[in-house]
Amino acid sequence: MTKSPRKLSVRPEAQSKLSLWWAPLDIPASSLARLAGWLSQEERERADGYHDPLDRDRFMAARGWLRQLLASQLRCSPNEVRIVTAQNGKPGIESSDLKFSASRSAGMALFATSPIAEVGIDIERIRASADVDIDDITATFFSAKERAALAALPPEQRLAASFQCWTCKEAYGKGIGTGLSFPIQSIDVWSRNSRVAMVGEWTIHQVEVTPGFAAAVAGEVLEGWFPTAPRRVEPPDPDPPPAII
Amino acid sequence: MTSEEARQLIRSVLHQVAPEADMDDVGEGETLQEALDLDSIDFLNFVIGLNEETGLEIPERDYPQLSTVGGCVTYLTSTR
Repeated sequence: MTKSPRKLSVRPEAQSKLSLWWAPLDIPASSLARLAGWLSQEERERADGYHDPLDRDRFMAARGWLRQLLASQLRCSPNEVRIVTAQNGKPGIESSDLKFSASRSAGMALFATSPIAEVGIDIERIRASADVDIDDITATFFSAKERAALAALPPEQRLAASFQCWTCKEAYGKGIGTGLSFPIQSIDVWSRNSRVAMVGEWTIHQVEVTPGFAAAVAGEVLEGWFPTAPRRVEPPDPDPPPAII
Repeated sequence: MTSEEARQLIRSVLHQVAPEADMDDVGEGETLQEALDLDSIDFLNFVIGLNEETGLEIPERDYPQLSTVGGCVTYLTSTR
């Protein structure tokens, strides 16, 4: 008979509607080794799929930080957290009601956790227009209202605003569990005068992060909730010193 | 479009989106976004590039089929 995993309950301090967290991904090798040591076999195989060592290290760091965060909320060890993927690709935690979403860009990871609401989060480094054709994205995937609002901005503000709008859309897609496979142009998530948008039962907030990045979080049935600034994921406890005999 | 033509097209469009990416090592079944660390904006620019080069309308529901080189080849050769 297979033993069913124990139910992981959310610690009382983690009961707020939705919490935001961040973590650095470019970290010393010793810290990375500690975080990577918690990854599952499937996560290690995914890490091996990255061709660039920097991308691989950042992936491992992000998953390690995520495990550290979830473990701290569930009162278990990071390698005990069983992250599973639903049929639609949305990740969840086996034997727990805690919901989460994770995103990373360049050297920064951003996480959302909630004991009650489905969530989606996205962070993007704002890249120079020479590096990325954001105008094509705007023309193809933004709604008429969004395009008009962006066009009304001073030119020097449009690039960052376009990334901000995009993070709102991707956060929503991750929240509803479809990723990018929803009619992206059909939703209005960005306007000049508001940092929050509603799409059906979903509330989408722009999130203040470190300069040079744009971010957003989407939560289901969270009307009236406003995000606080993301907190840093607590680093793991250092290894205990060797026993003196 | 033949499979080889589709591969050439995919390579060309990916090079426009991510010039630094080395396509030579990407296997048919590898996930492009992970192998090359493409973010969502890179991926959407890749979709736009495929559309511009082929005239093919690619609805969002089909995006999961474009996650690997092999999937892209199948999609491009079977939908034209």
